[in-house]
Amino acid sequence: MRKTLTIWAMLCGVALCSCNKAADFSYEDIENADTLTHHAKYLTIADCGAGVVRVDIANPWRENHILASYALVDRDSLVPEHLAPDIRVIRTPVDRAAVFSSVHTHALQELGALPSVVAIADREFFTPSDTVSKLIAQGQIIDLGPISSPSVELMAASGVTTVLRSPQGGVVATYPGNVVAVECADYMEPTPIGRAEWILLLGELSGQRDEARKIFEEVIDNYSALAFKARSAESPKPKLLAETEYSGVWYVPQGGSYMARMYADAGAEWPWADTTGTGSLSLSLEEVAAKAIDADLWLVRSYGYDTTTATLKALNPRYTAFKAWKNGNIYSCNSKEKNIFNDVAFHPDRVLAEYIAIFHPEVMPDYKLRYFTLTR
Amino acid sequence: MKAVECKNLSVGYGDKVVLSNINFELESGVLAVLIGANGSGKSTLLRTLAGLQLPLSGTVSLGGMDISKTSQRALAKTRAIVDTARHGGGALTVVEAVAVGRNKSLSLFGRMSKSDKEAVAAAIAAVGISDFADRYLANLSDGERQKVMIARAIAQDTPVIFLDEPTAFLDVAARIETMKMLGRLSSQGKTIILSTHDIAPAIARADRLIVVDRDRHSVAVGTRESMIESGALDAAFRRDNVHFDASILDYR
Amino acid sequence: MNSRRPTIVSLIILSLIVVCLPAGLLFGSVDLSASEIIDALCGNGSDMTRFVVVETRLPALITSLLAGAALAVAGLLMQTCFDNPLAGPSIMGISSGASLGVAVVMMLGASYVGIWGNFAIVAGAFAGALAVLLILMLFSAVVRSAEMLLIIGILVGYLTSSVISLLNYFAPERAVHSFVLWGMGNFNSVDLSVLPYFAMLCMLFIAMSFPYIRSLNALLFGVEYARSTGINVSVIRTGLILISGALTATVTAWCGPIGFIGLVIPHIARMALVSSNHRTVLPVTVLAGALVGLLCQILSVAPSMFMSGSIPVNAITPIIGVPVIVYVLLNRRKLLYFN
Repeated sequence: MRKTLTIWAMLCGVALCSCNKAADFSYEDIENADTLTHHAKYLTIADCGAGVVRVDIANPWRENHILASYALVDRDSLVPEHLAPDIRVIRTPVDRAAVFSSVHTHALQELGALPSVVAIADREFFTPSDTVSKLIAQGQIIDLGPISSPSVELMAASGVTTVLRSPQGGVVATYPGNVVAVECADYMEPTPIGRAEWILLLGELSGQRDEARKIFEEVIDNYSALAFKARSAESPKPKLLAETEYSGVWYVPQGGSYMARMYADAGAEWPWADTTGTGSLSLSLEEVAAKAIDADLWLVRSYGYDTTTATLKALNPRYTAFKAWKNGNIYSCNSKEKNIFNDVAFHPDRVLAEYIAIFHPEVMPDYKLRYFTLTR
Repeated sequence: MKAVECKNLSVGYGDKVVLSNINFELESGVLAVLIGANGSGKSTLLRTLAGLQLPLSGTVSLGGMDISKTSQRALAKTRAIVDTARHGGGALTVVEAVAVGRNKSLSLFGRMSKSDKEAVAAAIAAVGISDFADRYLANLSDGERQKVMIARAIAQDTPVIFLDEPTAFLDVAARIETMKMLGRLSSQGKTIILSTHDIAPAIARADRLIVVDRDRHSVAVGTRESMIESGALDAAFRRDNVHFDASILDYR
Repeated sequence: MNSRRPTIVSLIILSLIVVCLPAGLLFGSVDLSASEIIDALCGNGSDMTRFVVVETRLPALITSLLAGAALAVAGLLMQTCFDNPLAGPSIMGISSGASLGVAVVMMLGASYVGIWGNFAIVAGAFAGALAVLLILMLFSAVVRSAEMLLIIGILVGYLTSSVISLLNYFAPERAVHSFVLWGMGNFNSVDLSVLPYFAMLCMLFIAMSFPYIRSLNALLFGVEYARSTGINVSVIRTGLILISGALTATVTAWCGPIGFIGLVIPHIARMALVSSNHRTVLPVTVLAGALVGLLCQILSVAPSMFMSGSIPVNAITPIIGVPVIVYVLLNRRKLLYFN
């Protein structure tokens, strides 16, 4: 309870600083608000009772700033009076949503809420086997065009009330009319569990709170169990190399990023674990080689084609100097075909299982790789 | 075989005929001077004779070759030109600039053979700038630069040389010197055709005069005497209220 | 003019190259001592050191030498051909064409890049450059005046730029980012196996420019004078555009569009030699281009010693290029070759 109050007080204080106007202290039931989120760094969901849920999304690019605040009000409930103007009201369950990322459509589909999605953007990122693609073909979901500039007209024409988008660099989107944009900054979370907890937000938006809670609890249990298995594995920790160079730059997740955390949780040695940032470093081939030319394992992700040793060599013949190449310990994933992006967001346990199976196969004897294959 | 021969030549631009019905021939070893008022078409005629412009009709032959049917390379062996326009090459020395005239015999890489070097030295000596041989063009006066261009034409070693106002930037002494030098060249067998506004020295030395009549758009060619007699010299500047005085060989 | 000057200048540049080339091996994000480098060059030392020295740093330095020389020559040819001191290799739109080819590959055929790797980029660049070259050749046969040809080249450049913008607008973020990174210029993409071919192409085209010395000198006096000394100006001009285009295409295909070097080195050569005579200016341009290319690579890598990441080549070249150009423009009257 005290913790809840402290968080609320901090948030209200922050709201004060960023909005430069008094937050609405007369907002009823504030003392009794029940915080639902405990792991996500940038998301706070608080149930204020009477069908009103308050959502605050912190700004990952500006410390101590709020990116966006929402009041999710059940359709049968009353919207509180005297709400601060920067709090956007969303009536739940959302009935006509535009969702820009396949990660979120997948989660909504899992929650049984796909019918509420009437529009998407960047159609080419939805694979043909995706239900969304089929619905697009049937005309039940509209493609709004590029994420960077979606067609506002089509949005209005399809009656979109809510947009689920991923914010870039702290820029909040506004759309004309009464369309509310929900800034899903889940991808900025530094921990896999923190990111997975965002499914609770989707649960609130779609009116599937219990279902979302169930999924999340399962993820926490699985993830913890798997991490424990990895910690107690007998085989030595493999030194890991990931990604490839493109256009002369090799992007390498820093030690504080959730990718690096996953690698660590799966029992691998990450050469850049001593860096604390949550983003990626832009390194040259030389810098990567300096730290990881002797890496035991190499994870490569490609989009739209299957990686083979031939394609890797064509990409850069200098890759053949790496130990992982010489020993044939390269695992690749064609992320267009395999669902890894969609799964890693809200089911990090599935991806963790895969990593553990690759890093410490003896711990997962019956596991069949579903994302990565050994590169030939 | 005549050095220069025109048959039914008319010159001009596009549709505009500036001079027509031109017929004359020049032997080799002749110093011919082109005289006429401004805008009379002197330059146009000179350029057409030199093959820098196409004739509107008729033919020009140099050394028996119809120049409209001759390649630039062959033409370069027949005639050299000097004009008044100021060109680049400021950072070339006199020797380097004159060497450009030897293009036909230089190696592709610009190397000069012994005979090239000799020809260049001779050409520089002929125009009297041996003292400046290693100076940059940019550091020479306009007149000296003009001499370099003349030297370049001499170095090209062609039977015919066309010069457009070669004495334009020179002082009186230099003008006379240049005319004397051109006269020497012609007596050595070259055919020199030049246009000029500097009438008296030109007429004094010329073997032939090419006089352009601005009003009649015609050209008269002949010796000094015949031009005076025929009144062509007078007619050349008719509008300008001057007439030609044979006793001083100049206009007044 | 001192007839010893060309020799002295050439020797100075050569010795600088000989000093800077091995010195360049010392610069990089990994701290290596001179003895470690020598070890690596001899085939000893750890895998990592050998990789860094022999596979990464050495090819980049040699590439920068060749690319600098190639672009410098391309610039010189264009400056004399068009009698324009501000002409550079990119003036005819060749590098824009190459950029367009790469943009098409990266944005429309992103999966091909994955499968064929760097080869797809290089092929795209060459295809784009050749397309532009073809257009120029067609016009060159019809258009007589140099100015018109120049304008056509510039217009082609604008056209390709707008098509590239269009592609950028519709492309996914990653592809746009890739393309932007490519456009920053990079001497690192030529690895040991490709280096011989790159070197051969550069040296071949540079060598092909030497027989044009005589004609280039004649062109200094203007097209009419040149023609009157027997130069077939149209043919020569076509040849110069072809060679310059080939040099630009080769360098752009592997290293991305690199600016300023082609524009500035001919001026440096002419100022150092105090001459426009291509018999000396052309070879010195080759040497000076190589040296400056080398310096640009060293300067772009040097900062990685104390901070993460290196500076892209195209951020370095203006640092050298702009002061020289400004100097040239301000001293026009005093510089002999302008008068």
